[in-house]
Amino acid sequence: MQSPLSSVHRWVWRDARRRANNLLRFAEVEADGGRDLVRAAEQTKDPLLRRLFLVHALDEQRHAGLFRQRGLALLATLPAGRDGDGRTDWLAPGERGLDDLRVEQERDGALLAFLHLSEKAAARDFTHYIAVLDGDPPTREVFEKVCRDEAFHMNYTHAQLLRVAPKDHGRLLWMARLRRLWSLYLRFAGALASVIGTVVLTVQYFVFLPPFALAARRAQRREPEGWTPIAAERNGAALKRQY
Amino acid sequence: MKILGISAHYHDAAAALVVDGLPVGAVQQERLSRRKNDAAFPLEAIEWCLDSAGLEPEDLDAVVFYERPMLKFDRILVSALCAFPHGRGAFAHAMKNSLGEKAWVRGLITAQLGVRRDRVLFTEHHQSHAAAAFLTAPTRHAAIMTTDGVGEWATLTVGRGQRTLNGPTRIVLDREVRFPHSLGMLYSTFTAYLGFSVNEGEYKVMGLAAYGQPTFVDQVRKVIHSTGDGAFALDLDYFAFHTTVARSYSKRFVELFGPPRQAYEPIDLATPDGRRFADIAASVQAVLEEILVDMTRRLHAETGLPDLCLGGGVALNGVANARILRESGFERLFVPPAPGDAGSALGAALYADRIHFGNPDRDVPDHPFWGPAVDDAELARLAGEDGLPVADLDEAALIERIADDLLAGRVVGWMEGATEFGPRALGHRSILTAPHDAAMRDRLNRDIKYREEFRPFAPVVPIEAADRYFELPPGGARLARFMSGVFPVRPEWRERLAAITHVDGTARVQTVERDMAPRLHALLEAYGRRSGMPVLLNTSFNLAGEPIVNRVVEGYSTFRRSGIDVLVAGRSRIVKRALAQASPMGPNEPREELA
Amino acid sequence: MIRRRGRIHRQMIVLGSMAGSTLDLVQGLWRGPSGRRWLVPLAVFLCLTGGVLILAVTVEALAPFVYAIF
Repeated sequence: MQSPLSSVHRWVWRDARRRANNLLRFAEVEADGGRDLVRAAEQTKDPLLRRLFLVHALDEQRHAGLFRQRGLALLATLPAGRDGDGRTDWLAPGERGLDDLRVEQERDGALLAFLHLSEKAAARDFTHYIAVLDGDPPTREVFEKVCRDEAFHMNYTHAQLLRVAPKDHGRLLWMARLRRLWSLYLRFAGALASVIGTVVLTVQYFVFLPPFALAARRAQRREPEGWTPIAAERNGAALKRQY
Repeated sequence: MKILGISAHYHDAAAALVVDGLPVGAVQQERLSRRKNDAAFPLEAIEWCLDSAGLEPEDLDAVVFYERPMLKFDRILVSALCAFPHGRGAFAHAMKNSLGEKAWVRGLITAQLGVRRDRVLFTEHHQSHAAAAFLTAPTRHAAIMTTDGVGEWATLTVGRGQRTLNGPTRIVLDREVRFPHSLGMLYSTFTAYLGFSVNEGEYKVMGLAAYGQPTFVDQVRKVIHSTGDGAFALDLDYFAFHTTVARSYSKRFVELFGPPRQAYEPIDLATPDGRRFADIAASVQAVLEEILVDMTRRLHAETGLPDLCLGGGVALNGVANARILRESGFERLFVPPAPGDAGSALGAALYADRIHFGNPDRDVPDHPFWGPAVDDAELARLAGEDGLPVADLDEAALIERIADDLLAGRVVGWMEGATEFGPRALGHRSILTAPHDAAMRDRLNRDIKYREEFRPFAPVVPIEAADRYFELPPGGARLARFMSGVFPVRPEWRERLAAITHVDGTARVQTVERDMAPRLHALLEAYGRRSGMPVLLNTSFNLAGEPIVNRVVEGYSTFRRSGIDVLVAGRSRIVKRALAQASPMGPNEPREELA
Repeated sequence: MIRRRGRIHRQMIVLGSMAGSTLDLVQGLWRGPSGRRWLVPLAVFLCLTGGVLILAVTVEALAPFVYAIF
């Protein structure tokens, strides 16, 4: 099935340097996801889940290695240049893993539901990338390998969800969906707030700071290089002060 | 009196609890949150400290933060003003970062712990470092030097400390070098230039330096020069850390040293670029050592004291520490197990106890084991659930069994007692192996630690035998107590200690006294009886990108995911299933208990 | 055992502490040896801005709207 975003994906993956940088970022995300899964394995009281999470974590670690290896191989074929030409991973996300969860606060069922949806989304994204990577068989092969594992991850998380929450799995999946939506909104709100905050502070910077900057520069010129004596009253000064 | 020390918000958040003048617990937040270098407010660490002492927050007489947040905000603001108009990005970032949370530490502590506002105290950043270095060292009168990236304004301070058992304590810092002139920032800038993560990759620069020649020292001396009064100053044209958060070095820096290494690029020492990076690392290391030796030599001449206590993140540079010990004139050099910001939590609490409240001095136990302890029953439970055979052995049998394992070339994950406070694994959360074969080093790098080939591994040796294998100068064994010095391996042993001998013939030795770590000491002796050399390779029990393990379950998951053959926690021992089944039971091979 | 408070409760306590901390900063700048008394107005203004930043962190879902205060 053709993704409605296939032309965007085609654009993102067309350029070799961008492709390499995306793969290297995917490697980081997979490694982070692997560490979260290790944490999940260390938290659960369910021995079977612990074993499965550890297997899953090792898969993520391997994926990180595959992405990294391919990214580096691609970079090696390119002339030396600047690292990246703008981040495009938000247009072509890799696996989101557990980045929205505090693993230690989750129950097994909620964690499995969240994992299942994450793996499903990642598998769908990776399938789209495979479709636009005709011109780069080695990278395509990496995604195909990863995709095969994602299918296993999707299946085991679903099967285990049915096992640990036989009556509740539907609700947990819906909760996880809502939570992903809420996280998406929070990410968006956070990014927007960050942009607005930066704009406001930048305006303040140029409007209010110039006279103070002048004074600070003059004061800086008076600062001697080298040792500065420490005033006796600073030794053992009242510890209630924050300055 | 019950005093809680906290460090947070930059890197390596930690908490430490001092009761009646002595530490009762100290732990880095990362060990509990499992996020490497976790800088967040250390709520879990605080909770552990309080719970382990059976205290509630309202029982505390004081909560001491390790620096003065408003003085730090002053520095951040003035730096942004001095960078005008080029620092708009840094300004916005710094204001959001500081004013959105970090500047309001008193409110934050009150809100998180529910303690009264007037119980929240603040030390200066370098006072905390000084206290962590001096008040934990077995000396009564010593010169003190603290040096790191930056605290509030100070980046390096010198002074002296004096304490009388059951009497008063004095810590006087006489003078300081102020931001932006900073040895820590210099080293971190080169760390970033060489493509490593700042505040984490500095070890890698030190390891890489051994592969290079200091052919760039003249260029490094251009970016940092001595001032007439014996201090130093950076030429800020080469740096950008004071104007932007995006990078540490300027275009002029790149013109001087050539293109930087990209983070993803492997370092290939066979290529001209790889050799250039190694030479640059060697050069900045050499210049750092020169400056530190010069400053400590002057400090020795000025104070006439035999002991120096060194604190701050730069004190983690074991190569520089060894040179200071050899060349500064000080007879003994004390570096605490956690000289960086994590250790400042303990320093701040001790400073408040001795200086602010004027409580009488007490000798702080001279060991690093202040964190959560191993639960002896946990490994048996976990292994049982996974159908792995467990051997619960008595102390003597366990030591003999593990010595056999090590002799057979097995990699042992070793967990005992309370976890270490500080970045080094000093025998309570360690991976141990035989140190003889370079192939073992390569196996550890490849299958277990997943790290760069150029990074060395450290040896651990009983203090009685240290001098036989390593060229320790007077005071060297003390410096090696917490793995704080790098010393030459004696040439005649280098071949037999190939896994721990770095390319330049040195090693970051840990000496073990029976009193500090009796079990590890016994293991070293047992191994020595078998191999003829009581030396083991000791590396931290973690995988790349993860903090050192704390609980048994974390050790167990690391064991399951890596090439570690044997796991010991308390008195329980498990082996990998394949290994247990394949055990040939030869004369040197232990028999496995298979279910 | 530390009694956990909700985020909004915590952030309100932080907001409540701002005046005291700002006063510490002002006193430090005024009395300190640095000679930076001229920085006081800017420091106070930025601390007030900090109040808005704290509010934005408190209700992250509404953060973009909080910034509309500007």
